[in-house]
Amino acid sequence: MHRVVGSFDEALAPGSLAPDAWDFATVYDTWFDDVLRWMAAMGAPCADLEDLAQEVFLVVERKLDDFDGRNLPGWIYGIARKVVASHRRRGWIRSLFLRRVEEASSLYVSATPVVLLERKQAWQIVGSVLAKMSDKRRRVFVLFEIEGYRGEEIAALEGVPLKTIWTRLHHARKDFVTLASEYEQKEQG
Amino acid sequence: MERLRHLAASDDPKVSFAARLLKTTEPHRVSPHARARIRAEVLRQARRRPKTVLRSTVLLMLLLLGVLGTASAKWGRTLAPRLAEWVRNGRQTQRVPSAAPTPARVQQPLGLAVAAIPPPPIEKAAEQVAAPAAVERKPVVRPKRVLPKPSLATEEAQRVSAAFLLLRRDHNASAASELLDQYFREHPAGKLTEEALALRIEAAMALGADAERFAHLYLAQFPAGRFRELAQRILSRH
Repeated sequence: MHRVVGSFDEALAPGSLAPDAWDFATVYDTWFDDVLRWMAAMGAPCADLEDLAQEVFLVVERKLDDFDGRNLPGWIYGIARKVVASHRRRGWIRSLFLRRVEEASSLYVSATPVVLLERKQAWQIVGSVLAKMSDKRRRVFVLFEIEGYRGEEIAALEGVPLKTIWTRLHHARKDFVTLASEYEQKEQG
Repeated sequence: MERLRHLAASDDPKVSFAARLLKTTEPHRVSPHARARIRAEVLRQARRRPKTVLRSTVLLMLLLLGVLGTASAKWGRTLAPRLAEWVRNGRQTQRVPSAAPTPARVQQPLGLAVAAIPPPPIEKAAEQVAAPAAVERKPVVRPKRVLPKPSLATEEAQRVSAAFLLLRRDHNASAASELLDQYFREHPAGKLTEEALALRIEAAMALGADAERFAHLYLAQFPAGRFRELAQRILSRH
């Protein structure tokens, strides 16, 4: 389950990233999957993930020449955050006019329909619990617990010290355990 | 740090339940087809961008020109006159009103042809202009015109027209002769010398003396003048 993210090590190694050594095709191939996972962790709707990834890489393609060569994943992660936030605002405005509420989270429903059916109840709990968590804590929690990123990688993405990530993760775990327990009690009661 | 999903065997039932929940989740899977499709779309849009940017710039400039044109038309038609009037009124209210009204400008006759109508006196004209302002209900302050003093040509015209009236209307040839002689003395190179000489010929004829002399004078000074037939007729008689 724990994913190997060698590209992070390359990207974060000092002096390993010369801006002119990275073309768009390399960046795209290296980080496309991660961008989708990041945006899922940010709470972007599953149905819109591909469209949002396209927006992210359009920005990346346009601004890649201006990239200073430091912390490429953090730079792309920042773009993804802005795109998701913008999408969320647009969704809110659309919901005002169309009376349509966007789904809160992708809930990681990437399995086959049969597996989805089997795990439906568990995912519903996970989704509802994640939806109640704060944005910062949910991002760290999902990236660490579900997507399998390391603490150093999350710190590089978020642009904060590693200790801050551990603190957020600690509180996020407590929130998740408490909320999941409350959900279970409510279902049993 | 150990991940929560690995603590399913924890003694704490809450942690165990949360760990079991997380075990049912898995990282987001990305389809290879989506990766290729999005890549192609991104590259296609990136190639189109210059044209799009150019088109957007042109459209924006056209829109800007339209807005500026409309705004300038609106400004020129309505706002600018209002602003000018407002500024003018603001300046006028700051002025101290003068005690006496300024006399209005009076158009003076410049030739004998229009000299038949007597020019109104300056004081009378000033009263005529000042009178309507006194009865106006709304005290709209108008810009006061600073009238120039009567010019030399205007004085000459008054003098000649007075001689004309004395001669033609009052049939007082001697008074007209004196007035014209005075004019010739004061204005030896006057602008109305031709008309004055013609009048002086008529006055001399009425008095029965010196008409020829003035006729010679006229023809000497104005051989192609308007009144040369009069002068030639006088000379042909004698």
